[in-house]
Amino acid sequence: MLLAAAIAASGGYAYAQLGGTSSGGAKPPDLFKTDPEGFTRARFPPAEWPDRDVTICRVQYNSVRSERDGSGWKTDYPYSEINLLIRLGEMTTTSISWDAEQKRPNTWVVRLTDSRIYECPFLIASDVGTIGIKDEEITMLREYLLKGGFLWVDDFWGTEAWTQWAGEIGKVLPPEEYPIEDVSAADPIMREMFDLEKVPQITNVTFWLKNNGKTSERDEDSAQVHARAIRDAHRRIMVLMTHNTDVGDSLERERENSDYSRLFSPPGYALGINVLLYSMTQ
Amino acid sequence: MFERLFQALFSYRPVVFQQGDFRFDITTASFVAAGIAAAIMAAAILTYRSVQNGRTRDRVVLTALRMAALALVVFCLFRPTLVVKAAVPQQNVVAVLLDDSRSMQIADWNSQPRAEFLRQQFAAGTSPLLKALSDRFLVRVFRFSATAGRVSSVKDLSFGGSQTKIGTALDGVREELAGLPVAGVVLVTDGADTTEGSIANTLLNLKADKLPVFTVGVGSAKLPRDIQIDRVSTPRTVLKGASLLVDAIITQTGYAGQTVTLDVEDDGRIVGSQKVQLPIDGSPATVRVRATASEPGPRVFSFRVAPQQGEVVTQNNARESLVEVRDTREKILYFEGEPRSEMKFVRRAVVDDKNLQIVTLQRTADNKFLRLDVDTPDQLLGGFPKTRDELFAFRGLILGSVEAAAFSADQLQMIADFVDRRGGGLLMLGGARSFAEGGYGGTPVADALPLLIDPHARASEPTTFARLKVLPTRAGQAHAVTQIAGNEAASAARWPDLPQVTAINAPLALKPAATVLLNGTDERGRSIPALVWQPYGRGKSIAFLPQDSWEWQMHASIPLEDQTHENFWRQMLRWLVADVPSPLEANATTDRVEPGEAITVEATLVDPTFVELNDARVMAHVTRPGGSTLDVPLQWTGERDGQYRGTFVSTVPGAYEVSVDAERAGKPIGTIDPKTGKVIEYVTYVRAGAGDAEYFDPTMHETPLRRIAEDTGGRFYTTENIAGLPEDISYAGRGVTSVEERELWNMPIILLMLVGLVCAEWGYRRTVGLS
Repeated sequence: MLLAAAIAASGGYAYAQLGGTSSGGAKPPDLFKTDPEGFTRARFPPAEWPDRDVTICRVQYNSVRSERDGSGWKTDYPYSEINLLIRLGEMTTTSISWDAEQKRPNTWVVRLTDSRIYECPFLIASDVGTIGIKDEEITMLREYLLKGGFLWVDDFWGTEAWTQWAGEIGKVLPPEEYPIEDVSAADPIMREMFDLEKVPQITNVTFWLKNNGKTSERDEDSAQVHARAIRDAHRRIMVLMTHNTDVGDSLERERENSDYSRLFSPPGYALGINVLLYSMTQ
Repeated sequence: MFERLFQALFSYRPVVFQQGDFRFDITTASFVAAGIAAAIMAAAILTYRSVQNGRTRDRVVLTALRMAALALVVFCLFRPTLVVKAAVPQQNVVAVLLDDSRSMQIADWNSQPRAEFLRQQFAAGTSPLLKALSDRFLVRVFRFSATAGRVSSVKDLSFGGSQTKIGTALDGVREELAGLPVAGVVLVTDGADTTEGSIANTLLNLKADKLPVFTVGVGSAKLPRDIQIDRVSTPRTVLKGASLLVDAIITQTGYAGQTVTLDVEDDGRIVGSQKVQLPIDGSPATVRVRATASEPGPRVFSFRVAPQQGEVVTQNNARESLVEVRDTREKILYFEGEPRSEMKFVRRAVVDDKNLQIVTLQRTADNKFLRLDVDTPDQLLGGFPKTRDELFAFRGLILGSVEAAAFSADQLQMIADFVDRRGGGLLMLGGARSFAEGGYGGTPVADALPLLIDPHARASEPTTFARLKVLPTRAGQAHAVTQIAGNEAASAARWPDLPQVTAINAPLALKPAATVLLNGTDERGRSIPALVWQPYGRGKSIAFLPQDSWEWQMHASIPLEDQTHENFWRQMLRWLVADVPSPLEANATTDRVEPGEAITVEATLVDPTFVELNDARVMAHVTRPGGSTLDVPLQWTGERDGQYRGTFVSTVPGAYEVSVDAERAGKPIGTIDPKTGKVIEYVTYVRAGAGDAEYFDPTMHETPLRRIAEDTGGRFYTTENIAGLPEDISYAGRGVTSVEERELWNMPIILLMLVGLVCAEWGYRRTVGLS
């Protein structure tokens, strides 16, 4: 409720606040489609990190299969992380890495062969039911996670996508040693800032509008949301998987439909902020 | 040699001349003889004046020689005499104190043990020295080491005493002989006193009683070949698993340039080792050796250099140190004002350290806190502690990126008191809201910090972003907290390999007492202190400026298995809580005593706000080596607030465990164990048993023995010139004495001088042709 009120009180959408385009009652330009700043292009980290404030890095992976409505690594990029960082900055005392010139939070795209991932302690990846992790990427991702990095994968639906993901991450963290476990409502990640009883099923706004409020994008095959994790030896989550839900879309497209936003953005941000805080505390 | 020559020429020992009063025994005949001599002198002068063929100078010389010879005759005719007070034979007591300690077994007296000298010189019936003494005095023989006691002969000595207490021995003998006519005390020892106190009072008492002490130094002033561990500095208590960085001082003679290994043993197990090249003779070498305290409880760490070929004393190659290894969980409060990765990685670095509990208070939003590793569900529920008892329950405090405005004025004062009065460790981390940027200028916290913050500076956004290459300073190289590899050299080599970190706080000047352990160098070559500390009141405060030390864990150049980041933070946080006092603390005044000796226990007691308490009931529960127990009440000393003291006597050899508890108005005082809810008793340990102190500095100590002799009116002897001792005591003028006159005219030196003058005159005359 706190989060919903905060989002409502913020008077619009996360990104809209940045450019100040929502003021005066004029309809903001559709930046996502036209993207005058070129935000949707892959933005790789510069040679030197501009600061050491909190940022999010998105994994640019190679898709080896395709999923309906999916865009591979670009899915939900870049506004889900931009909006999540903005809300994190608003809702918490976190210092967000900020690009003053472009008036946006810094978010970056990294490849799993790029050693810069080690300097970005929080990675996200979407549509990972299409991922193919190459041999040369396995060691780096494994070391990244075991050293203390955090990976949140989201927006992959159905059994086939799960099987693909589970097989690929199993090459990085073999399930015999690092089994995939369900995350219960009692897990600290569900309590970091907002108390969540479950991970909600969130669909993308287009699907939701077309299907009269239906949320399972793969019908029966994706009816059940899975919040799963791979933990390290100290039971800390290294990889969080939100399967059969598209939390990223509730962040990315909070502004596209007010009903959708009212319904999905608060729980989406609540989970997103909890996950980010967890990645900075545990 | 000199004394023998002196005695041959002057008939008497020097002491007779020192003690005696000189006078002439003049009679009428003396004046008659003097008159005749004067007439002869006048005749001689006239005779030489009448010589015509001599030069004036020759006449003067010849006249002077003749006058000198006649003057010497006149001197003798006036009967020069020394009046001395000599001890009346068999009327006075002489106490002979023989050193019965283990150092007397060192074989540096003519390649024989020092004890052999005692056996030869003081053997009843065969020793000329003892016979000479016995002829003049009533000889009382005493042995001494830690204590003194009467013995019938040197045969009763075992030379097994583990301590030498010269002052105690002299005091004991002085008291035992009180009221008797004592001509002197003979102290036969190597002078290697093992007590740390001064003997000034003993000397004052001896002077007051007019008791001269004649000291005999046995042994060599320098051992030909020896290695000694002079000193090791270990903390009295450490946390289990702590990596100790111990400085050992080694001195040697005869092995300069040789490389030896210093091993550290814990119960026979080597837990540390360091090679050292020995310096020139007599010059100390400082060796820094690292050891791990892995076993809890009272641990005796032994620092040892293997005996080398030809060493005279091997027992001083090892030194022991009692360290109490505490297996407790030290509580540190980490207050972080903003979510950031630094906190996560600091917590992860020490997660496996079972002796550190990082109670974390993470401010996620205004007045909203995430609490981690708290003891109870309601601990820190309202945020940062609002009372001193609540804050002072922690031993360390980390302030992350949190601004001064997050605290009330009283909380800021409490933080300063936490360091100053409670003796806790404060660590402030670099960040957007810490130091000057956090608005700490002019606050009590700024007073505690080792960096100077402008008191007028207000909280501001950071304007600096420095990428730092961090390297230890000279002080840092020697400090345990910055040792990030197995030894000092490896650590020094490792630092340059670590990735850059960043700092966003504007550089601040150092306070006078601050020590920089790590320096960061930015891309423009400017040096910025990265890790600084200073003592503040009873505690210490530390400033760590980098905001992303997690790079030392995550960076691509750091291998997965690398433990640098973990070790650094583990050491840092253990250091933060090291030596932080508890509300109740107790210590024995020494960690080793002789069996039978008294053990003094001192305790300090404060309430939960660290105000000293003088009206508590403090009890020491002693567990003896056999398991029997004894309760010793400790009384407020009246010397210092909160200080209590009590004494008990050790009985059998072994380790004595002393646990101390306290209560006031029926309520226990001290640190409460969160699991049991009971007060944790403070435990300390004392060993009763023979130590190796006797073998340290085992050379003959001439200076203190000379001082004892000179201060009391006695004399210092070596084994070479001891033969004159009985006569010297006789003329010391103490005890029952009689006045004796010693005529000097018949000294051989007089005759020699007379003959010499006559011959000189004759020779001179022949030389100048006047014969």
